[in-house]
Amino acid sequence: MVADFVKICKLFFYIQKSNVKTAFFNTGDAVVNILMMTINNLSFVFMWWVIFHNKGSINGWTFSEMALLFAVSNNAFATYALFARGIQNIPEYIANGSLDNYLVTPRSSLFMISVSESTFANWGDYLTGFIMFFLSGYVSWSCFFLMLFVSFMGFILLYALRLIVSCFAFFASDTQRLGDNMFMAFLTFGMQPASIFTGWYKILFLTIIPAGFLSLIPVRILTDFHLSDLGLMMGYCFLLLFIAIRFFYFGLKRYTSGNRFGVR
Amino acid sequence: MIKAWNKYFALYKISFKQAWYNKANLSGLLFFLFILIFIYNRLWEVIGIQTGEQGINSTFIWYLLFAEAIILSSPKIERTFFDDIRSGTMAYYINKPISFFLMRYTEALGNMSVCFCLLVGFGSLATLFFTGQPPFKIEHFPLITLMCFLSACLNTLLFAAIGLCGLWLHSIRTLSMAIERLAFIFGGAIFPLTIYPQWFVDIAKWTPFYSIYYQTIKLVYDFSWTNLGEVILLNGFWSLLFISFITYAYSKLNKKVNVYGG
Repeated sequence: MVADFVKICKLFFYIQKSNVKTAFFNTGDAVVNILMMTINNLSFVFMWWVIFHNKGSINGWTFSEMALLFAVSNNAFATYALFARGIQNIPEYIANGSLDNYLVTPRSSLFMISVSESTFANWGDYLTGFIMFFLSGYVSWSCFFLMLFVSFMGFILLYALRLIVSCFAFFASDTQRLGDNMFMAFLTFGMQPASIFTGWYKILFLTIIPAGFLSLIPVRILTDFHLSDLGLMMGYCFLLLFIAIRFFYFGLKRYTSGNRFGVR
Repeated sequence: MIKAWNKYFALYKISFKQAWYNKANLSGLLFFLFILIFIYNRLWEVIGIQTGEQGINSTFIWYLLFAEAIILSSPKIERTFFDDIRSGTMAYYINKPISFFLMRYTEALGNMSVCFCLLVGFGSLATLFFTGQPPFKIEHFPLITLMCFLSACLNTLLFAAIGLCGLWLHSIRTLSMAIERLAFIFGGAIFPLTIYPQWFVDIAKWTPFYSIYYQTIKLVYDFSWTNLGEVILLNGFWSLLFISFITYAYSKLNKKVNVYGG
């Protein structure tokens, strides 16, 4: 068990090293990609800065809380996009039969699918995340490490949700863009000031569309730490991950290999 | 001449039908639009209550609906062009009696038309449900929709031009993302440019996003024949620029691309 885990870790680092090497095959291109992504993210931040600058605060949230939200969500998304983005291609792999390639490897098929794609430009998300953390005004070592931890929990949440929507492809055809849109809808929910959701909206925000675990709870942990919030977040994220993995293997039982051929 | 255009019209129809039957994709789009309307309606409601500007959400959500109809209906044509250039697929079409560019563009328009009509139809009902009275006169609705549809065609042309940059760039993913985000910011696709500082609006005016998005969508809450004329002129100017670039890039591509990729 431990030996398998060590082997997987070794393979993971080997793949990441190879991804970085591939990206730096053209150094200029790699740097430009990271910078473009950072500018892309900061332009979104600017939009919210203008809103907060005009309106002061929104239901108690100021730009500081928004900056913390950007720090957590950017770091969480960067981790997903760099190390586990392959799961978003599951519908495509199922449609063209290339899922077979991952099923016959001696390693865990889910692991191999997860690391099958990485977008190097998303290192720019980490850069944005750290810039936003330092702009938030909540700067201390304890807050920094806590931010890293909740970002990792955010990554687990994103990974689990994306895996669930990708697995719809086992049950219906042409679900690639449906999955993309559902995931985007979740991200959009999670990138808003959580203070706008009160009453019934808040219940919806923490249950049916659990974006509150990407915005409301992490920001509350960072600004007003309570162990119960941290426990709630960890419990929810790991539960969702467990459900997502079970759902993947349940769907996999329905998969009957590919038989597509193509001519041009 | 008419016969030549019939080919493209046939492609448009095929693509329209294909998009129409892709129910999973369409329902995903509508779900995303609904979530956007729901979230931003809540945001502007809260801001409206806080600042005492009742009904502010109606103006901004109708504005958001048309902005998203233009953006979400765009069929990622840049990726299609990029993949076709990189994989060499384009080379297979060069000797066919059809323009490769127009073929892909009309296919994209077919796809875009279905998405646009559904987004505006469904979105209007959802927005009416959330906000009640629209900020425009009902007789202006078809004209506003038509102008936004033309903007969506122009937006698709812009992204087609980005796709052709695949001849010079190793990857266009980040470039297209950056352009999308610039469109959001300079085009005021989420928040109208009225909330931005004047220096920023002055910069935005020099970009194509200002007329493709903001000027066109502004007709929703500030409709006048002068504004309409300005939109037509500015969008016409940017169309000419995009077409010139595409003609130049396409002529270069025709010479360079081969079956092993561009």
